[in-house]
Amino acid sequence: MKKKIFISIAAVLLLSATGFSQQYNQDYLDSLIQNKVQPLISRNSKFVLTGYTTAGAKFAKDDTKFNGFSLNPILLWKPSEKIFVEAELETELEGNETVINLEYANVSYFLNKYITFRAGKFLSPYGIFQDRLHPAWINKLPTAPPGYGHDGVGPSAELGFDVRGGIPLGSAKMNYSIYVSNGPVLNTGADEPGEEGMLSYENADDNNNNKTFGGRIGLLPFSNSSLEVGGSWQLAKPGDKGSVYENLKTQQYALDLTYVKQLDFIKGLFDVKAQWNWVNVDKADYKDPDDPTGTTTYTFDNKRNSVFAQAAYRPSMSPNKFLKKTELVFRYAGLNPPSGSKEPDKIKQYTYGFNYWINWRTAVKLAYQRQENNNAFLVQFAVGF
Amino acid sequence: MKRNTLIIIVALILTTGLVIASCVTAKITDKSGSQLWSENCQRCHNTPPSSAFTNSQWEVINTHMRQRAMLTEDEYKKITEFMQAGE
Amino acid sequence: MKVLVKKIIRKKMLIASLLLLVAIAGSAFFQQKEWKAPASADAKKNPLTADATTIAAGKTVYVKECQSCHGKKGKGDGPSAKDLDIPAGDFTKAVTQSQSDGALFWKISEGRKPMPSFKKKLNETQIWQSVVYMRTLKQ
Repeated sequence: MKKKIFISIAAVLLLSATGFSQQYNQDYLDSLIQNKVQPLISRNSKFVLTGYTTAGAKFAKDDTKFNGFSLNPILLWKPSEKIFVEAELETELEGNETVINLEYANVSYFLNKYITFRAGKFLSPYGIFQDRLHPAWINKLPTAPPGYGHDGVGPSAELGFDVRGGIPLGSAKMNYSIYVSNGPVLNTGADEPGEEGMLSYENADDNNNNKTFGGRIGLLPFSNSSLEVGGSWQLAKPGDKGSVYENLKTQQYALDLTYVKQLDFIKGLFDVKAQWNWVNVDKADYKDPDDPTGTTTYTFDNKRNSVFAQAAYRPSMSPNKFLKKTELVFRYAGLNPPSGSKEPDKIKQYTYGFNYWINWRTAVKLAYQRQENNNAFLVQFAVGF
Repeated sequence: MKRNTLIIIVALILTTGLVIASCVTAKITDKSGSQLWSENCQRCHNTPPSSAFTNSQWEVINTHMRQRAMLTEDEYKKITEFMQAGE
Repeated sequence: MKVLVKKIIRKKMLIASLLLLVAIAGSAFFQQKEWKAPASADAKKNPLTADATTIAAGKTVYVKECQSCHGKKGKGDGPSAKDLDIPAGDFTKAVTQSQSDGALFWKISEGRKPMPSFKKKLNETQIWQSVVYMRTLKQ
């Protein structure tokens, strides 16, 4: 136990020390990009290299390790007044291998005040976590809530195009994003036994001609834009062409809520985020993976949902320089797989976090996560650059 | 059953929102770059200081955010102008 | 390109290790350079008097342009001040109040990032009005 405490203190010290160097390096990098990189790029294309990097550690009963190393460069170009290109290369260590994943790469065309047309691979405009909050320098906790990621309850990225924009409504405001994409693929157990009926997202090779239709509408009712409520949907046929699953349908819905405001009576910034997801897939028969002969089938009511609700408080009005940079976070998260499926049991998770913000995009995050048979103490250092 | 509750919740949120919105007279289009910067960035992440990027970088960064956060054109222009004011 | 990357890495490593030492030594808190208006700025006299109309007009400018960082009461605790690399000025204290109107006028006009320059955004009268309003925030 003592050793653990020592390691975590050492880790935090080391990590915060690198944080200071980050502040100094920024100027150097900026000038380098200005002087060395900019001339390498077309004269009238404006360019920014940005992104974030993470390092972490996990302390659990049977699983104590340094983890979560990633480097995520983001490339942004503005080749002309109306065109914009963005791409993120997510570089991570998975086991001992370095995996580079094209998180997104797309082109936007600003058609007019209210309409932006976008094509390529983009983060799903579905709820708020995947689209806006998942980068480590934005996420207030070291982990993502269960149900997000590449096999989540709801989509993570789309290959296709969307139409989006913001519309002022007097003292209120709304935004919208409507897309057509390749959409999800149904897992029938061939690749991953036990995950029959689950959807996988981000498919470059589409398994059918049906295209997915989805979107999100957000409303900001207050003139100070502190509150946003959003509703998302995605309708698709995820089955393989020519298979018995070809005409199977899915409906996915999400609701999200954001409230962020500095409140005088609590002397600080109050930040609430929540999202509910529902994934419904038509009932179907799947091969029973527990039967070695492969002749019996099983079925279940294929409905799953997940939720997270997070509240954070930062004493931003405190005259104390240290306190001002600290933040307390609590998150409840839950995931309910379909009953009768062969997936793991439902999840209930409680995460308590304490953050220290070295600057606006660099934080040392400490968290204790409570989950059945899975309690863990987590440390993460996230640096935006 | 669940679907119905959901629809009711959404409807309630929308109506309360709109009722409150109609009482507040401040128009978003009357706001300054300073106010828009302060009110919008923090909805997702900490508000960046104008010194975080150079003036030419701000144009690209804010175009990124116009697309991503679905800022209105007016907001994009005002925030960018505010971030670029001064050296 | 490779050479360039190597160079960056080498320089980065050097800076990082140097700063690591500094941080460990506990002297990571660095002093920012004091922001002083030139002496010529002091000579500029405020053409406005601190009457109710001017104060009200100054408040309008203040709420719209200054409050996000300097806060409702001028304490430098506005909703967007928490992550500024140079803290927002506290107008309730002598550090600000001891400066001449001309010096404050000059600072608002010129700016120094993260403090924006307002000479293009506001006209001279508006800047003087906000200076008058700032005086009411003294505690």
